[in-house]
Amino acid sequence: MSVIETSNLTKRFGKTLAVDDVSLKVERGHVYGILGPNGSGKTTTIGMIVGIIRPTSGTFRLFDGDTPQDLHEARRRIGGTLEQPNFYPFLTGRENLKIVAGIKGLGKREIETALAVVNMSDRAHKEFKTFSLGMKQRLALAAAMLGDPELLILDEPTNSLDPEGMVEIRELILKLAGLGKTIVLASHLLVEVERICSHVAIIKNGRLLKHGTVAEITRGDSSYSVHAGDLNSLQTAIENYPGTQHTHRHTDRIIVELKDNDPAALNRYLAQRGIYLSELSEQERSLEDAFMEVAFTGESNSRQGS
Amino acid sequence: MKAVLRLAVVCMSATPLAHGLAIAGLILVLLTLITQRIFPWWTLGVAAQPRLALGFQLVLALLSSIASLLLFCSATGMPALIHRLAMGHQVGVMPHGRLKLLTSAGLVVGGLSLLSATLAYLSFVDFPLELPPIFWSSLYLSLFAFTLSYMVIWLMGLYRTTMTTFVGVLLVILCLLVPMRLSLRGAMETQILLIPTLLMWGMIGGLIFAAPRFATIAKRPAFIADGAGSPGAGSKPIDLLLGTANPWRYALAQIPPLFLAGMLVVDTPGMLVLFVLLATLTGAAASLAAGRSRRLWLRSGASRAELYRMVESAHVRQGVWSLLVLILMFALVGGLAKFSPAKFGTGIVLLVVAMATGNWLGLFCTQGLGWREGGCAIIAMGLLMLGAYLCVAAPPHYLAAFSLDLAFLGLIAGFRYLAMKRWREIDWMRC
Repeated sequence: MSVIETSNLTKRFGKTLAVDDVSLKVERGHVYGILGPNGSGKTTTIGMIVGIIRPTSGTFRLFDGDTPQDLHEARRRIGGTLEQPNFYPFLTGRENLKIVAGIKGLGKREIETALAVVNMSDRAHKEFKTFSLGMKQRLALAAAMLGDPELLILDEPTNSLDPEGMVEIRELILKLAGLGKTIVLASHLLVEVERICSHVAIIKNGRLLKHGTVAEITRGDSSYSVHAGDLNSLQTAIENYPGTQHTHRHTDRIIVELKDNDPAALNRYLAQRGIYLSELSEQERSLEDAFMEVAFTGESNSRQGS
Repeated sequence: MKAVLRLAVVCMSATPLAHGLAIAGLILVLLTLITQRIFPWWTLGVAAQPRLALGFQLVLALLSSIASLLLFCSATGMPALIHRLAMGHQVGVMPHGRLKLLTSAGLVVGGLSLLSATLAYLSFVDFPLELPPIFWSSLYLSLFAFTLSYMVIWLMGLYRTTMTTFVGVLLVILCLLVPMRLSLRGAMETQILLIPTLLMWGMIGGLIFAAPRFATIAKRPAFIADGAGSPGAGSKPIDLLLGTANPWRYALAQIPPLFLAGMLVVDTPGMLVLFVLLATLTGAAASLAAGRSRRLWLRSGASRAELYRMVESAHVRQGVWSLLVLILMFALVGGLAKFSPAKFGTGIVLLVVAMATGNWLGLFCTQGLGWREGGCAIIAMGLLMLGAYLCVAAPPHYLAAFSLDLAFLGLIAGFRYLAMKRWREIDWMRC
């Protein structure tokens, strides 16, 4: 069952194309990261899904429903933090949640449950102004969790947090994912997205450049890490191999990019020359590498297109 | 000097709207000056047409006032601009940056005051009054009123809530009108105004030069910046998010300006106009509702139609509180001024109509004040003023006032329909 499915979603603000033809699908249980630089259209995309922004064109479905009534019902199953944690500074965490619960028509039990989920039950009696940024964000997550929504939409949840706060929020998001929630989060922090998300969509200049699982995105197309007892002989042999596109020597291994993406042929070639590999593995890129490559290629393509 | 001039120009043309206002103001100034200089016989009058000359004189005086007001409005962004520059690091890098900043602000206010004084002087050319005193009196008045108004605008920008906006707008109106009223009544020597003006400029200079030390004071608390109401006992959560949690505050805030105005405005039309203005302003707080309802939408799970109903009822509740206080005050004034029952009744109906018009016009403004909304506001305000005039004219035109009230019902229904339509398609990114 798809929780969110957008089809050619587009938003234009006057002459500015904020989101351009974005089609993506989020399945139940996914932790879906929307990744992109500032101003790339992440928040606008999320805003259209939660209904604070009207799409210029395109459609979307929430929980497999797309009629206005379906969308209205579906939005009751969504919790979100689309803003900086913004509560009354002189009220306690619990009193602040009481206000949000009042709007949602929920009671004390739901407040305590939400506080327990974000591990704030023992600190909710303190005034909001005394909270650290991490605690403020956790309270915002508790507010989003009120009513036990199935889908959580988080916009830049770790933005402006210190490393400790980031770890707190990351662990909390993973905990919520463990509870079976579907989570969509927008961020420009690549390391965070790589650590938290199961799926990633890369957006730049409003365009969806690539999407898939984190493994799919980070998988190198034809780069391999190889190691043998004599690295010098190995390097010479690889450089002479006709299928080599590019090599790069590290202290303990050589990274080779192959033209035909056939590592078995390389292994055979080296064995025929008396070089036996102790390691031949697919070279994994970090999400940052993948993002830079995708974003750069996407930009060049769009420039060529225009 | 170049930097000071450039800063002064930026202060008066920071946005396209400010730019437009400044140009419109300057065009009016030129028009007035040319008319005065090239066709002096229009205003000096000829023996055969003395009434015509008086008419032209009035028109020119009106044009001068509008020109001054437009130029004043064009620089309303100046306090925020100066504040931001004074708090920034760049001004520290610029040689004598803070002095240049202060000089440019002084240049804008001084220039505007000088222009207003010149226009006032020219408007009364050959009028049987001594010329130099009119010029100096206008200059002192303008310097004081403009300085005070820009300081109020600065404070309004610093602590932006419905309450501060409401009180701030009233204060600006009073800052501009009260000294003028006092001087015209001969109740005050305008030279005295130089002392508070100089004191204010001393304070402004102090603030600009010591701006970095005031960084923590100037930092707006998140609660104030957000503009939501403060939670009182028994406040509804919806009202807290919309800023309508404490309607009595707005209601009571109307009393001091009414008392103050009561001491200065003695005529009935003036008082009624003030009451109508207050009733509209209270309703106009609704224009902030669209931006504030975003959090309500995200948290309530309501449909757009339900959301509109919630917002509308919250603002009507707030409006009713304010209206009750206004009606009580109006009854008090009516009792003292010995209003006839007909005048009293017509006045109250006009206040209700003004509140309702302001309220639904405010709800209609989901994307700020554009040309369409501004046009509607000007028309509505013009008609309300006409209603006030019909009510207090001698003899009063009660039938016409009643007909106008009926017409207003149609206008209010129209604003409500448009508001509902806009809220059905509201895009919070544009609010």
